Amino acid sequence: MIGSKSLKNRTIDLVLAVFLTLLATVMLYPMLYEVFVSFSEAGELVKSRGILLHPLGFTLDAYKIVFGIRDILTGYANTLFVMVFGLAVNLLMTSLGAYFLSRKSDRVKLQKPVMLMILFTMYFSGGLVPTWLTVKNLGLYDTRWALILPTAVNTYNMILLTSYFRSIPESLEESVRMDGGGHITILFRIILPLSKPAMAVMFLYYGVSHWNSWFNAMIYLRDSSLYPLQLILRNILVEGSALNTNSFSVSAMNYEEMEKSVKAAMVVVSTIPFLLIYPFLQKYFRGGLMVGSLKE
Amino acid sequence: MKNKKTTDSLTFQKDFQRNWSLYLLALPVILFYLIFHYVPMYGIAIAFKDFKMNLGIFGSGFAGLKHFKAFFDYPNFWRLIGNTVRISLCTLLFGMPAPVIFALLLNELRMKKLRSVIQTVSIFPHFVSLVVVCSIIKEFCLSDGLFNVVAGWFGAAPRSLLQVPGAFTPVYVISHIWEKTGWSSLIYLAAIAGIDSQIYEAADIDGAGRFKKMWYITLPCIKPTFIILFIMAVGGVMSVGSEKILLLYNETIYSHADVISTYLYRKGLLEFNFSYSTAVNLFNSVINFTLVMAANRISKKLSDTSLF
Amino acid sequence: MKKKRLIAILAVLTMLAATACGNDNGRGSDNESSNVSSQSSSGGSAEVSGASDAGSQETEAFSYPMADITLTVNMDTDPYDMTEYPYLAEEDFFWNVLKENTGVTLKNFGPTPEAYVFDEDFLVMLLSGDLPDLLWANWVEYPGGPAAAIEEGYIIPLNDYAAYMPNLMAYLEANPEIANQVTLDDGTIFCFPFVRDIGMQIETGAAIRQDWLDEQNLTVPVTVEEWHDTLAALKQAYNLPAPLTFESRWFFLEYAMTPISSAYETTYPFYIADGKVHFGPLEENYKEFIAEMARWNAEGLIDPDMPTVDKSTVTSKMASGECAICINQLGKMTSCLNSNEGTDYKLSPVPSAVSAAGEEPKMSHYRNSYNGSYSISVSTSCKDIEAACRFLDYAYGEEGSMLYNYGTEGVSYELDGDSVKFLETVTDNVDVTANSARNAYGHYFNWAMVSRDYSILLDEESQKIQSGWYANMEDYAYPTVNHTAQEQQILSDYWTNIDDYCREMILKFVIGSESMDNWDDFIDKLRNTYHIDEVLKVKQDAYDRYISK
Repeated sequence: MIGSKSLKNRTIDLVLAVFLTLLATVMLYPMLYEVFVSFSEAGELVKSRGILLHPLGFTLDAYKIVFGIRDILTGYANTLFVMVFGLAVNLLMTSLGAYFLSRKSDRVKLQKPVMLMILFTMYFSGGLVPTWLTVKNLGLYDTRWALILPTAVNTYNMILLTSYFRSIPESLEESVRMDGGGHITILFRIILPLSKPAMAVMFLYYGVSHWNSWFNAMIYLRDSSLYPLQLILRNILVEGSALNTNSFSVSAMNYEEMEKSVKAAMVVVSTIPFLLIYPFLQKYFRGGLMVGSLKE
Repeated sequence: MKNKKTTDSLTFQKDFQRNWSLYLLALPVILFYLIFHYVPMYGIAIAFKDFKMNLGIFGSGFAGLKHFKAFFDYPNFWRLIGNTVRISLCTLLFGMPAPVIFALLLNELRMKKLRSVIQTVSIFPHFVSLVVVCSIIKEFCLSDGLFNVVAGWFGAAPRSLLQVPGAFTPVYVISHIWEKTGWSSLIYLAAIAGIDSQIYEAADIDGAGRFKKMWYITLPCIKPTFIILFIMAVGGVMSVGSEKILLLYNETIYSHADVISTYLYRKGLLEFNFSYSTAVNLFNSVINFTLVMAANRISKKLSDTSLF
Repeated sequence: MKKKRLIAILAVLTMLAATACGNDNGRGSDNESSNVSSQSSSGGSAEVSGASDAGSQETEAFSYPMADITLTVNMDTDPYDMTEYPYLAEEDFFWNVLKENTGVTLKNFGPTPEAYVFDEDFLVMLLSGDLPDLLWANWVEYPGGPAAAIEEGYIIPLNDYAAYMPNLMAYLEANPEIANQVTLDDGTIFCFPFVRDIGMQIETGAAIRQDWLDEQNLTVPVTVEEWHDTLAALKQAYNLPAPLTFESRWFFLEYAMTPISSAYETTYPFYIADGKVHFGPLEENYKEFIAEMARWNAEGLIDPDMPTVDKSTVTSKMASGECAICINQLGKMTSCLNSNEGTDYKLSPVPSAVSAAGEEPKMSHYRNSYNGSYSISVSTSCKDIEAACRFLDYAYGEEGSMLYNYGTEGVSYELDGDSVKFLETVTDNVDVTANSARNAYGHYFNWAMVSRDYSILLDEESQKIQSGWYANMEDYAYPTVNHTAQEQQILSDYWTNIDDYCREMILKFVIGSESMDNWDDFIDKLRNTYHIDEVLKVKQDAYDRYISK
């Protein structure tokens, strides 16, 4: 009985493993493709078509160009700054909002109107011009805060977190309440420690959006020494200036042909930091939190 | 019943006395929405004006419903609406369950190392630029691409898949799943990770099998998240993003691929008409908002989970 | 160097004298706050604004460089930053030479413009009211056109300052065609134009595998019939899935399908014939052209993926030998050649097709030499209009034009009689391509200037291909015109929809998903639902005004 059950289990495991590995391979391909292209030789790329299964030739030219871009390190530093402070603001504000929204609504009279008001902004917005003017009038124009404050809360993320907070049993708060602890204690002592997986997701969702964003920087920053990495890369791609005129690090060659591999190298270069962070976050996605342990 | 009565009779003053510290906590968030979302809200007026930048929003001439009328008069108006709704409903229907299934399967995988590798890999497509993802999709659909090679084994004549109007929605939805599943499954994985392990232990003692545990414990625990996401997705029906469609479609399949946002893009690119695009977006927003409110109400009745 | 410094000192002295005399009267309010340096360069003369006779005196008295002036211009990066030009001596770098010669230091302030679109960052700059002195933009594409930009207070009309731009005025006088396009209907000059060299105007065309033609004893096709037969022959000889490839957008952009449609003397969208503006699809010839394309497509001569392929796929199909003829940009042809270096691979240009052998090709790809893009205007924020005009005007004089186009004499080029010969610093630069080096010693395109010898540094093969494409398109091309506000309204109401509809239908006719029998319905709808006649009238009216200027 037990034997057949474990056999069945193992078969399921195996099928599952094979299926998911296949799926993962398909999902991996675009990134692999970028890596292959970034190492490929330009002349070969021009002739190639279809699926790449390995780099065509091998060259580091594309990376030399990318790292030869002026300000690329400043770009990294600026992005890092916005990430660190932006994430801190995001996570704090989102937890505060989600905490408020996750309280039992019949006890908080203003909760429903506030939720409605927040939801409304998901669909209706004043648009680019008035938003820009507001940011300018607040004195945020051309400062790093323009990249942090206007995006302090993402409604979608906050609603996700709210739904997570709601799933935490209310009974856990009782002990804090009995000790006379207020909302801050409940939030920081009970809710947040129990929400590590959700906070890890928030960290990723917000972090990646900061990492990839260039639009706000483009419209709110004028001082190019504040530009984040993605804006610098984008300016180069859009104008193609790195390819047309300024690329000293590569010996005379046809830049038209380099375009593809340089773009790919940029993707690889701007993705790597995330691959470094991700394993640290991943442990929060493993199940089996001990709720009981918190009570002690 | 009694409880409800007390709520209703609760005056604002009493509510405030009881919850002031909670309101204080929420104050920064409320202020954020007031300042960055509600102050600029006057910009909606652009839809009813002939906006000129130097005149500003209030100085520009009043246009009434002119821009709305222009949109409704567009000869292909209904085609745009139809395509938008079809593409987003299909994405909703097939795209929403995919991350749930993926998260559940991943959760069942017992090989820890493999599991974390697969999980990491699954979010990769999110980092690759859309241009590259779409160029891979296009390559796949060419008359000599992988799809036609495989179809050729079954004797089908090669044809450029992206020139077959009816094929666009499937191509869009399937590639959407391929691209987004890993990233969207994160929130479900988090929900699963938040389940108290004692519940599983109790189920083990009761002799529940794998499938039973998944069905009776895991699934109910991620149901609220799914419903919330679903309600929000219903509110996005009218706003299929333009970027991916712009990269994938071509003129010969406008009949099935042209949506409101791509039309606006083409129109805006050439004419930079703030008023027109604001009007169209307002039209979308009104429908979206109505839909999300309806979905919320229905969900509250049926499942007891709702946004508010 | 010493001489220049001396001039600078002299200029400062003059300036002091001028200020001392306090001869500021009679200047427009614009100049009230103008700083001292502007007066220095005006050489201390009192009356400047408007009076052209005063202007000619002015010209004689003035000489570059001006004394230490700083002007802001919208570009993303600091022009003087040389980190990416280590192969260049500092004093030879274009921007430094320009600074030395004109006395103007540029400061970057605001976003580099796009060629044809006003994107968000540019709009935001306009919105902020924080404008650079020199506005680098394509005002022709601005809603309402340059006239609106002036009226809305972003840029100033330059006519009053003609005295400060003698070189430009001389250039416009010598080139009435350009002058006609640069000035508004009422004669207003609003920018220092970027004028393209012919090498930039004709950049797209057809090329054929010469090595295959040789093998098959064929010649480059001349008539449409020959095109068809050559394609069919090559398809069979090399077992090609489809011998002709190009991107579908060429049907609709910049007369790029003219390599074939030229034989029918028609193209998309608007062109001039017999003093009348025509819209291709409304012409019977155009229908014949599309019918022929549909026939080719049915016979498997045109790439079945034509509507979906992008430029890199077209290039790789051509480079890898899947296709025999492609219509593509010159740079992509060069890529095909480069990636097949050392093989027999050879490309020949295919001149635009003609209707009967012996005729001259009529049309080709064509971009107007001036279309508004990359031109520079003086903004309303500019405090020193004279210096701004003088600085920009420098590019149109002989000395400036040489510097912009070729760099510094003796460093990057030599004069051999009248012809320019680039030196090894450019042609054999070990670090970058010749064109890149040229653009470090000079700045030979995308700026307010007249571009010359654009293609001169291309390799021989590419030059040969490009010159094979030339046809006298000037007579057919619809010029850069100005539309009245009312016309603009009609265009913005109807044109995008017309263009959309044409693109959709024409491609469907070509690939056969719409039968040619329905062509008349298509035309009916264009006229009745999409208001093509109104748009055509607008185009005709604007053209008539342009001609009668």
